[in-house]
Amino acid sequence: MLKAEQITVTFGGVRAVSDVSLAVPAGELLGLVGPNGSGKTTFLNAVCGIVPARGSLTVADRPVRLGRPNAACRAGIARVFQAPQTYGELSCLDNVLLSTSDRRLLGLTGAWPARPAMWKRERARWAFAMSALETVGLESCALEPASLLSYGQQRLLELARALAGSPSILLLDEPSAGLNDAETAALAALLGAVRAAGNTLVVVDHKIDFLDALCDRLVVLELGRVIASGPPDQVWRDDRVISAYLGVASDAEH
Amino acid sequence: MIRPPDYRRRHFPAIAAFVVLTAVIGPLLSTSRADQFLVDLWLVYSIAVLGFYLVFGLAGRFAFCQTFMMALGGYTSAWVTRDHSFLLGVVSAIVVTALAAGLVGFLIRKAQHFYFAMATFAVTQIGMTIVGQATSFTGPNGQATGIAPPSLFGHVFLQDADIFWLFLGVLTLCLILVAFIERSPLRREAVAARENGLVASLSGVGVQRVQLVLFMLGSAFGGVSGSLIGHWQGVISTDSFGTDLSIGIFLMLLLGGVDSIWGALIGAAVYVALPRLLSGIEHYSSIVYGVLLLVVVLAVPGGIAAAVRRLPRRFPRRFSRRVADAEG
Repeated sequence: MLKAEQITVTFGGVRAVSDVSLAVPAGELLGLVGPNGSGKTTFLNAVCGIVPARGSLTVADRPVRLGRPNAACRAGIARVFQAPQTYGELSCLDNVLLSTSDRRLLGLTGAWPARPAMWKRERARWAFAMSALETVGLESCALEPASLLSYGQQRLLELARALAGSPSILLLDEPSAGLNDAETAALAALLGAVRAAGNTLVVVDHKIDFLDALCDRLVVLELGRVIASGPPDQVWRDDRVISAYLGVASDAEH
Repeated sequence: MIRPPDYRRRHFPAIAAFVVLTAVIGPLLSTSRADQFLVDLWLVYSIAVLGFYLVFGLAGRFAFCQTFMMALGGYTSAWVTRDHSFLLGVVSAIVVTALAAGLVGFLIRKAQHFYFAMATFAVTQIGMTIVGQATSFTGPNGQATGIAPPSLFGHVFLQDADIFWLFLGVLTLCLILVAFIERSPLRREAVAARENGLVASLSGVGVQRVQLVLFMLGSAFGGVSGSLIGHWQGVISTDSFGTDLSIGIFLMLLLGGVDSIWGALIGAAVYVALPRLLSGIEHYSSIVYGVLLLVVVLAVPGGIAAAVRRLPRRFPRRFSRRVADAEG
């Protein structure tokens, strides 16, 4: 589904992501882990076009231009940010409607001459957005301004917005951050259901239990490079991963 | 079927109420020629401020060139109506201002916030200078004189009392067009583009396209307003659309309220009526404007329209509290 080859992101003289290549087959739930500053979020930023990057990216074998958020969106890449990025002034329903995959008659033509056709499309869009809100359990807040939601709810709203675009691949950046154990378990169940519905996901997170229960495969980054990849139990036994997280024995002796 | 809140607002009954109220009160207020002039000025300024609402209030682009668009519309219409009808003059003003805004907006599409304001200010300065020099287009010293009065279907609008109905009609049409936008997906896309363009573009919103379309449309409203002013007054010059009015347009929307179409109308009314209300203390009018602006910024940041909107929510609460106190 998603194939990233030699993705490199530099900030001034710093290489935040260095020649990272990874492939995510359709239907997989991939966990991306690594210590702080290892380039996980920057890699996601590069894939969804927020930061300028070098390398090549394809989604379903179609090339995607790097550095263009609109191109990433058109390719079917959706993103859920670590800090919820919702529009407080708009209702939850409107927030979800923004990422509709039916993008016809959204401008002046729909507002003026083609109103009947626009209404017809809008009704279908409202129904679809409501079903996305139902998936994450926010249907009762549909008409509330997003600013009234709690932190956890805003994250769910962002997830609903990402799902409403019927993406080919969904990138989630630390979805469990700031959630308590019960909320994390509920989120894991939700992401499991999203994946079971045929979606492909890449999840960046720090909660190991959460990832182990959820992911088919983990990719570990350190200092912008891939140091390990494989099933969770195998990855956590890898010496390079242990030393990346805990340091090496010789360091402790000094 | 659950409708988003924007589709639940009652724009059209409110517009109908506004038109009826203005049609009744407008002529009653116009007891003298000076008052009639002010009422007409309010209506025609409202059109320009409504355009600025689309550009700034909705799309979040601080365009400092609305008065230039008014001037361009005024001169274009004056030039076209030398040989053609009033209607064609207004249509030309719409087309020319929308195209000018399209060109400017495209060139500075990546400029954000303050830089967009500066760029549009520069466009105004350059544009006004060119227009002032292009005497074959404008007239001697950039002054277009002898502009034909408005005429529609054989009726010539000569008196200010007559003009009132023409301006009210055009303003109503503009309100309806804006209300259609308010009740369309374009509104949510514009709000998203305004609040966080990066996230909006990741969701698929064409941020630059939405902002450009609203900039062109708002500028065309400015063009209509300028064109109507020209035909009404019979004469326009670059001084008619100076920096004072540029700041005035911004002031009107800020006073009235940036987040509602009614803010434009309320703000224009306050701006036009204030000098008349302060006729005894003209010398202090700048201070009064300043104080009023401070009051709005500090006490009602959403402008007068937002304060009015909050009233029904505030009063019942006070009333119920009093009842509870009395009963307690």
